[in-house]
Formats: sequence, structure tokens, C-alpha cells
Amino acid sequence: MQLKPTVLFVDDEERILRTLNLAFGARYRVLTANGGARALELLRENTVQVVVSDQRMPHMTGVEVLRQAREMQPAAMRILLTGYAELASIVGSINDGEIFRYVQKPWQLDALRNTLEEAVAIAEQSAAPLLKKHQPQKTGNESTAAPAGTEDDGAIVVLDQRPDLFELIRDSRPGRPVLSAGTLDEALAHMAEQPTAVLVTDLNLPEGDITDALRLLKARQPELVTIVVTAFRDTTHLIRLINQAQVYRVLPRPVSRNMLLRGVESALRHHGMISASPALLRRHRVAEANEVAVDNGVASRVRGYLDRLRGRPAPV
Amino acid sequence: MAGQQTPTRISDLVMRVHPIPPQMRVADVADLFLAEACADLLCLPVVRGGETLGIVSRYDIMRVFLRQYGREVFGARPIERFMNPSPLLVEQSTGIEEASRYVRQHMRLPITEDFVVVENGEYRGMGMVTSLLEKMEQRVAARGQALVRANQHLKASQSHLVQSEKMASLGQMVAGVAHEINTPLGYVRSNVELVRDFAARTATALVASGNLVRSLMDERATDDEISQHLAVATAEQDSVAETGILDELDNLFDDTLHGLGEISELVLNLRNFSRLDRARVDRVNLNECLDSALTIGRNLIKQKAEVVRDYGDLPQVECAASQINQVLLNILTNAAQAIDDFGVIRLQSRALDEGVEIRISDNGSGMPETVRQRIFDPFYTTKPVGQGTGLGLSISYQIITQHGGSIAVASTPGAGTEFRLWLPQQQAATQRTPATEAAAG
Ligand SMILES: Nc1ncnc2c1ncn2[C@@H]1O[C@H](COP(=O)(O)OP(=O)(O)OP(=O)(O)O)[C@@H](O)[C@H]1O
Repeated sequence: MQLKPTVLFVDDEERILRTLNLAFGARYRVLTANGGARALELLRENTVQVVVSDQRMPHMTGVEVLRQAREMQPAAMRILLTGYAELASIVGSINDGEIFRYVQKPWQLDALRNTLEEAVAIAEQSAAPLLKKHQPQKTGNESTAAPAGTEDDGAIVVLDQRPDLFELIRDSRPGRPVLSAGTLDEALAHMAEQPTAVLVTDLNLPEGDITDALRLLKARQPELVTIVVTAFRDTTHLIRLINQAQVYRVLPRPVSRNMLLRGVESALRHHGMISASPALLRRHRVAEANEVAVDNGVASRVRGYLDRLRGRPAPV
Repeated sequence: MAGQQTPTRISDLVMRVHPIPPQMRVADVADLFLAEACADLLCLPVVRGGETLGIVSRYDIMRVFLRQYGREVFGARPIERFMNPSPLLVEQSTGIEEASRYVRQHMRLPITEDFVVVENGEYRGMGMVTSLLEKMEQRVAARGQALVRANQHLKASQSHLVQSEKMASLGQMVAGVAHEINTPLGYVRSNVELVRDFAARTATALVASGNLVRSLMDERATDDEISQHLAVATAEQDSVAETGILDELDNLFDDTLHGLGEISELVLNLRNFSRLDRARVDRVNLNECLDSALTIGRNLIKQKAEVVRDYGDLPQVECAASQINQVLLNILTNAAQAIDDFGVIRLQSRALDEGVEIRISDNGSGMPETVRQRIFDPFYTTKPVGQGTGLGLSISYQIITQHGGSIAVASTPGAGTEFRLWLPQQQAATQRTPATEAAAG
């Protein structure tokens, strides 16, 4: 018999663990931990494909569990399953946990089944290249660190009304093309002309909120790594950025220089790593969303750009 | 407002009085004083080439002329001899307050002279003492008004802040309870979905077994048919067994009922906590208030501390329960926030002196004496901007003292903090009114 994939659930409420065990026990080898310490113990002893953790628990938060899981088993997909969306935990889950999905309690069993199925499939496909990439690296908190040689020379596009971010990034990265855009159209034009590795963007642009545009871009060009800089503090919004746009980092505005440059640095490395290995791209697959809900203007502009892209050799 | 006015300078008050030369005759000066143009002037400046030599006042002239034959004897002499050679000099750039301070200190009473305004020592004009004082008076009045306005403003914003503190703690509370409810809701929903799925499979299996039984009883059924029914029934049975739910069914229902119980308890607590459906002043058991505050704050507290409850038998206490709950929740959240990693919060209650004493202690960071002395001050907070309003304890203090109770705190830096509350069994006001006493009895 083929070995069942392993899923680890972490929650301090035993009844949650019990129902998840019942729901998924037939399909997966289910491990359960009632807290962070136990979870780490299990991660040390078992290879796990997916870790699903609650956020608020005594002694250790879910984000912390996932951050450590990322270091111990970078190939495992990470999901936060939480009852209360709190700004700090969402931002932490993006920046530290690099999570795949943010699922809220009470969950729908079918939806969670699909999410887990997808996560397991991706984990299995991407485990090999990730492990290879991770072997030599022992620095601790940058688990996405790839050997410097894997960096390609894709452009950084900075989509923002103000020049400060652009100037900061341009000055810190001599030799790499850094392009400034004030509108989505300009950014798309840049991206059509030049292969782009990283998009740094504010959420609020003249054409409105660009979450949808990010979602479409990410759906069709998963190797594009996005950093969102925003003063916006709406939790539902940020959750959509995770689930539907797989943003790589969210930085609060006004952004500190160090944070920004560090974010760009690891985004570039991350881009180098995922574009080198098609299986890794799938780790950033975005959730299906209702296409109809998308503002048609944004959708058609992004599609127009993508059509133009087809003219040049695909990155995969 | 006084603060926004551009500061008044002496130059604004200066009168361009034409000075007189030192050689001018006393009688001519006296005539000048009588002239219309000088009617308002107490004195005239004596200046030579920009240099102020002195001033001569009406009073000086009068003194000369009051002597016998004064006018005749002295009228032709130069004014120089009769002037005050050391008048008050004020630099034109001086601020009005400084000038008035200087003038008040040096002027002679009764006021017979004004002061001379100079720029770098050079004569510029005269300043009247009365208009200086008038200006000062206006300023004081304006400042008084500004103070009144500032005070009104402060009061308004303070009550606004009290309101927003209430809203903030309400918001925190609702958010916390929402999270608390989502946890049982999570497993209850999941269990119900599991059971629905299980029931569907069981129903299919039941139909398949029914078919099998019927074919077994049916004499015309062929072996083939029977074995086909058998296969289907077995497969369906397996599919039911595969879920593993059959063995867990009891647990599943227990958990579900438990979850529903939790949810009702939370909703009940929310209602008790705000006491929206109760009279303002109520007779309550403070142990219940403590539990209620604990449930509401559980979400925050559970990450930070283990809670140890040491409750005594308590008499009912007359109080506005929703306010007391707010106080308890505030002290509990402060305690949890003072704990860095993970600690213990201890709740003790006992009957004491015709009332109830509650102690809430934590083994968190504690606070130094300088902080401890100020924690009941409005707006005092050590938390980062935007995180604490610094109103929690000042409002708690008000609530407890309005109840005729007391609140005290002991703290050791690095070791922890203990809050001690005491509330009287009966409110002073109601002790005196026979109506409420009758109602209570
Ligand atoms: N248990 C405690 N341990 C240590 N310090 C405390 C404790 N309780 C209160 N303090 C100190 O007292 C200060 C004032 O508390 P208070 O409840 O009035 O306002 P706050 O908690 O800062 O703000 P808010 O009420 O908006 O949360 C706190 O900032 C903290 O420094």
C-alpha cells in the first residue's frame, strides 16, 4: 500500500483536533498536537506534507509554530486555521510564516478538504527541489535563501505614486533594472518589455485597489514575487492578499528602509529559486475566486498584458 | 486665543511726540502743555541730536510756577535745569510684558511721567503708562477667556476619551468573544458535516442491505443476483466503516453538545457582562462577576497565563454590575499584558468588613514605585502610543470610589503586582432610603 501523506494539526482545543482527525484520518496520516511544543516535537520526528495551526494558543502562537516549521521542514505547506483575524497575526503569517492559506473558523469541511488536497499535492511535487535547495543553508531565519548564483536579472518594478520607495530600491541595487510606475498600466507596460522578478506596490492606486490585478497576475505568472507596501489595515483584505494573491511580504507604510531592502533582497532570492524549479511555482498557487467579481477594466488590462507576454519565451 | 496672537511689542504703543530742545524756555514749555496737541501728554521729552536728556512733566512746570513769582523768575530759564534727567527708557523691541514689568517696578506714584521709547538708545517717541497697563489688562482678560475655553475643550475631549475607552473595551470584548465562539462553532460545524456525510453513507448502506435481504428471501433470485447484492452491500458497509465515525459517534455527539453548551454560555456571559437586561444597581455575587470577566477575557488571558481561582463564600454585593465587570476585566487584561512569557494570575475573594474583598495578582513585570503612584491618573500609561489610553485604571478608580469601595495596589518590579478591591455590601445611599430597604428586604 502506498504511504499516506502526513498532515499535522495544531490546536489547543482537543475537540477541534478530534473532528479534524475524523474528517481527514481516512485520507491522510493525521498527527495532532495540542500546542507548539508538541508540534515541534512531531516535526522533528516526522516528515510532514502540511501543517495546519491555530493562532492563539498558550505558550506559542500559531505564527511562531509555522515560522519554526518553515525552518525545520521547508517543504511542508503551511496553513493558519484561526477563529479571529487579527492584524498582527495576519501580517506575521505572511512575512514570517509564508503561509499558503489563511482559513477562518468555523470552516467549511468541503473547502478545507480541497485546500488540504491541493496543499498535499503541491508539497509532494515540490519537496525534492526544495530539499536540494535547502541542504547547504543553515542561516536560520531566511529559509528561502537559495545559493546566490540562482538569482536571475529580472527587473524590479515599483508601482507607487511617490518616488521614495523607487529611489531607495534603485540606489540599493546597482546593476539591476529598477523601473518606476505610477499606474497599473505603466507597470504592465514595463513588465511586458522586460522580464520582471519582483513587483513592489502600494495597494491604493489611482485606478483603485489593485488586489484583483495582483490576483490575476499571480494566477498566470506565479514566478512573479510581490511585496505590498500599505498603510491599509483591513484584515479581510490582507487575508485575500494571502489566499488569492500569495503576496510575499506586506510592509506597513511608512516603511522602514531596512525592512524594505531586506524584503526586496529575499524576494529576489525567492524569485530565483522558484523560477528555477517549476514544481516550486505551484507552492504559490492562488485560490480560485469568482472571476465575475473582478472589475472588468482591471481584468482586461491584465489579460492584455499577459497576451503580449506570450510573444516572448515562457519562463517555465 | 492669547497664544496665537503675535506678541505685542512696545513699538505698537509708541506715540511720535515731537521732542523739545534743552535750551527751550520754561514759559514756552508751559505754553506747549496748554496747546491742544499736547492735551493728552503728561510730559515732554527733552532731546538733543537723538539723545534723550530727560523729560519734563506738567507736574514739574506746576511746581516751578507755584513758587512765588515762579513764572517771572524762572520762566526765561532753559528747561534743562528743571527736567528729570533720568527718565524711564524702554527699548522699542521690548515685549510688552517685560516692559510693563520694568515700568511697574520703576515708576513713581502718583504717575506724573510716561516713559521714553528708544531704539538703540536713540529717541523714537513716548509710551503712555496707562495704555501699557490697559494693554496688559486686555491680555490678562483674553488669557482668562482662553483658559475658560481650554478648560471647556479639555472637559469635552476627556468625556469623549472616556467614551472611546468604553467603546474600545467593548470592541475588544466583542472581538474576544467572537473568537471564543468561533472555536466551538468550528468543531460543531465540522461534526455536523461529518455526521451528515455519515448519515448519507449509512442510508445508502441500509438500502443496499435491504436489497440483499430481499433477494435472499426471494425464491426466484439467482445466485448471481444475490452475490451482486452482497457485493454492493459489503462495499457500502465498508464505505461506512471507512469513515471511522461509527466508533466515534458518541464522542462526536458529546463534543457537539459540549460546543453548543459553550456557545450558549458565552452568549449568556456576554449578556451578564453588560447587564443590559438588568437594573442599573443590582445585588450580585462577585465570584460570578469574576468568572464573567474571565470568560470575556479568556481569549487574551489564555495565551499569557494560567488562572488560579481561590473563591470564598461571599455575601451579595449591591453594585452596578456592568461597571464592576468592566473594572475586573481591566485589571485582568492589565495583568495578562504585564506578563512577558507565560505566568500565573491568581484571583482571591472573601467576605471582609461588611463587604467583599477581591485580590487579583500576577507574577508579571511589576512596576517601580514611581509608576505605581501614578497608575490611577487619567492618561497615565506606559504602553506604546496607540496601545493604551491610560484611562482604564482611572475609570476603575472612579467606579470603585463611587461605590463607596476602595482600590489599592502593591507591586514589586520583576516579581508581580497585586490589586486589592473592597466593595461594601450596601450602597450608602440605599442604606438611608427606606423605600429601597423595604424592597431589598
Ligand atoms: N498588573 C500590572 N502590572 C504592571 N503594570 C501595570 C499593571 N496594571 C497596570 N499597570 C501599569 O499601569 C498603567 C496604567 O494602566 P491603565 O489600565 O490605566 O491604562 P493602560 O492599561 O495603559 O491603557 P488601557 O486602559 O487603554 O489599556 C499601565 O500602562 C501599566 O504601566
